[in-house]
Amino acid sequence: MSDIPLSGQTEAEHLRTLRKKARRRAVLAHRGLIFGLTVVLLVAFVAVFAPLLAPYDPFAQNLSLRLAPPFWHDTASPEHLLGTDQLGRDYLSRLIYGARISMGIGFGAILISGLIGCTLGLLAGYFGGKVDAVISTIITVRLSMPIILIALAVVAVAGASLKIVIAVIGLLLWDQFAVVTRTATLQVRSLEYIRSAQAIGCSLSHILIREILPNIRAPVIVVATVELAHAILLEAALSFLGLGVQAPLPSWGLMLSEAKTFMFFSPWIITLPGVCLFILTLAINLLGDGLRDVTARGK
Amino acid sequence: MTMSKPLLRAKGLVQSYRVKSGLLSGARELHALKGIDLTINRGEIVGLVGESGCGKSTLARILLGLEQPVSGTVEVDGVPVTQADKRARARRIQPVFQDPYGSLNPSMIIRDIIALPLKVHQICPADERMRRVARLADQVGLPARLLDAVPGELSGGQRQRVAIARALIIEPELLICDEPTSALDVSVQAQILNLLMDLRRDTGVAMLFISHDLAVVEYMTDRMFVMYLGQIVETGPTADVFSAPGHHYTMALQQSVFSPDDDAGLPTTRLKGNPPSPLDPPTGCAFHPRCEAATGTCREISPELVDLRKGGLCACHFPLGVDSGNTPLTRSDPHALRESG
Amino acid sequence: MTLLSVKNLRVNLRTDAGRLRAVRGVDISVERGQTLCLVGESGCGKSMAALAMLGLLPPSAEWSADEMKLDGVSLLNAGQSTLSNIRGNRVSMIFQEPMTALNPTFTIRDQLCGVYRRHKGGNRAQARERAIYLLERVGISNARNRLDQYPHELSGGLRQRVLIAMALMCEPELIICDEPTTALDVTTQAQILVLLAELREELGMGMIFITHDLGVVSRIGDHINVMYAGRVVESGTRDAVLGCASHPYTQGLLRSVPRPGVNGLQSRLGTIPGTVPSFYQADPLCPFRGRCERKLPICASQAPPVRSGAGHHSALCHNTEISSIAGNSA
Repeated sequence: MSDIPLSGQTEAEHLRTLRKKARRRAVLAHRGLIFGLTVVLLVAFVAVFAPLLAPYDPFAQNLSLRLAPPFWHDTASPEHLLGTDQLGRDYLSRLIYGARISMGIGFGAILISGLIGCTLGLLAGYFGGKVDAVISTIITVRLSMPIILIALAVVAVAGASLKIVIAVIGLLLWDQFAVVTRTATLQVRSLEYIRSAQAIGCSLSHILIREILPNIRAPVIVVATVELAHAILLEAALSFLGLGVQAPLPSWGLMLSEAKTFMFFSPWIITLPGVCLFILTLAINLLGDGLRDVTARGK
Repeated sequence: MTMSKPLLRAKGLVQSYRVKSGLLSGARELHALKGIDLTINRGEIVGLVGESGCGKSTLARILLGLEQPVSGTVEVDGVPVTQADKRARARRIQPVFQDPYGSLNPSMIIRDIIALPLKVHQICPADERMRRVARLADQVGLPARLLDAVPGELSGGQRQRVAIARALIIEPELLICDEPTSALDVSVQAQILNLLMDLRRDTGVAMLFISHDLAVVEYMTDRMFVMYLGQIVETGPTADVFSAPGHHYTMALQQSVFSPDDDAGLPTTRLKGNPPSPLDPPTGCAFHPRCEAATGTCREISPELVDLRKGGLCACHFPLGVDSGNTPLTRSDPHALRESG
Repeated sequence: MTLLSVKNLRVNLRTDAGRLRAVRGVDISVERGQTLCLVGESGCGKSMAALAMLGLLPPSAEWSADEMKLDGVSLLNAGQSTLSNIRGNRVSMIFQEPMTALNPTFTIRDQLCGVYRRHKGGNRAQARERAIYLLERVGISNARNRLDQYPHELSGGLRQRVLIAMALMCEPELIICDEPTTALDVTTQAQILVLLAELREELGMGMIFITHDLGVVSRIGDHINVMYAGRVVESGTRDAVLGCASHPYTQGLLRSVPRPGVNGLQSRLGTIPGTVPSFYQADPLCPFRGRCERKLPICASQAPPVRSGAGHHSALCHNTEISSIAGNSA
């Protein structure tokens, strides 16, 4: 019929394409989202392809060329774009490998905390009652613990290694996932499609994973971005205090820590990893805010 | 297969909830169902009418096994079903809910939504599953191109067709339709009601049809129950209940139905007051504060369901159409009778 | 004099998917003491038309009209202050959802008296007296005590009564009811309809009653506008439109309602095939032609004419004869 707007398309399909276009326009028009996404993808790319991108071995020392300034100084060494550190290691290569550590720890930790938090939140929200009371208490207990002190204590006892740092951060940052998942589940739980699934005889895991989880993914993704930034900063803080990643691994936090002795004579050595951390966490937070804006709009 | 054994029999269903009514006052008991008996035979459409808060949705959830009653039993084919055989019950009893916008998972495509029961009950291999989905979509009048859409792209009527297809795909013996058309436009409602009638004719599926709309119940059902505040106040063949209602509440409901072609004007006999809160039900007959014919007996003694006519039961001391004078038509004890006289 | 007269009202909503044409040239006229029913299915533009008349459209909406007169005075170029003086005072509205139309943080007294004092001035005691009088008038027992209750303490039926009382506080000349009984139980619906009919009679108000329920229309309407896809497709007195429907859409709607005494085993309900046309396309042709049983070749090429019969009965259709019985009565 002539009522159908475009050839071969139904009204619903037509509207769907129009809405998709509008969504795409909204995404492209959101500067924070675009900036955040670009930076995060760039850092992720650098992290993945670090061995190909780094001009030098980040561990190779060259004691004859220590604390070489970066390219904007007159005395810069032409071989080392961003100079070298106190042991003569190429700073650009260390920053590139540092991205790997930050992203690796960040993603590893939110994977663990997301799994714990979402499971607890789903169970609390879905069952309510006593289950909810118990889980809510666990969440409150967790919220009342000072993260950095607990992390310090655990790392001090268990020893510092990459795996332990990921595990500790992962086990500490699940609270926001649990809170948000629980609230979102509560809203979805009473909807009729959940009751339909129960009446069909679906298993608990099916209801939680297939029926509820996909429909609360938007807030969970937003929390994941915030917690990713949180995890990266926490790693930097632990490393700075000497209880995170151990030397000679090039973590940005550790680089800050190592550089603090030299910061008065070679300010770039502390500025560069600091700027990297700042830009990455800012980008991740902007990405999270942008995602929230765009998904809220689509609803 | 004998016809004598009903498909579903509910006996003495009682349900109550604890409700917090205020900050300082403690929890109170809300009696949602107060002893409901109900049978549904094979291939029959049974109506359940009542206003919001009368417990009809609670009853539906109990029959579907989504809630456990405080007491009472539900038998399917003479065998009591318990919480344990959830999946077995699900194969025989399926729901169609009211809200076509909330009853479909918004992040699944229609094809998967309809196929889900087959998958859960592992009824047939994947390719056969898709053939059955296509066949059923055709049967419920759902265009095949919509099978790959998500619910957000469908209209209310189309969604309700999806919900019906999903309910029917495992060939249950009983559909519990909880207000299946009350969220739809009239012209769409007509399509869905016709569809349900066709499906009943073609598949022989029995239905419990829950609605607040008497005209729809009259159109759809063979037998009906009228509920008021957690109790059944009248039951019987639909035609009989409509031609000669026994309970004053049934009569009031009937007078509140407006059909567009008679110009009877607004109802003259009016119900008094507002529906009572289930938290604070009246004594005696729950309907007495709103009833024109209420006497002292009604205030004190709760009437029981008694035979009104062949196949019809009514819980009223002074049922309509029965010239009982001032004698209450109940098995009430003589002491109470003396008081009322 | 006609109380409210609106000519060629158009409302568009800006959405992600383009411009949604909700109301596409609707004429409305209401007399004092009369009820005009706007009937149609969801999406036909009936609520948008009402909101436009009150100036309560959402920010994403734009509207236009050739004429909009209240009691002979044009509202088209009226300033914001004139409009807000009219709204809630000379014209008031009753919404569908009694649960959300009252502010949960204020008592009944605050909400009722607030409206009165904003428009009529007067002191607290006067406002309170009027509130009590009206609460009693709409059938709320124990009105004095109800004044200090909050909306959540009342049942749905009571809340709708409070809303009606609130709409009447300033003695409006016109009251617009947007599906006021849809969220209520059937017995409560009957009570509210009786109440509205009595009040209209008593106060001589004009009333616009928006509903999808043809049964309700048959009880409360004097004049009916049947709307489809943003247009009035049939208009006339109640008896003419319901008894002698001329537009194929009205006829289809009437056939799809289950009637008393009819069982599905004996007869099927009439249905209207197809779906509502696009909201987004400007289309001067008949909006119903895609679903019409009586469509002619001309329907796909020429805009439908207004066929009118006696007593203001008219239908927007190429293929109809108005053989109105209302000719005698009107």
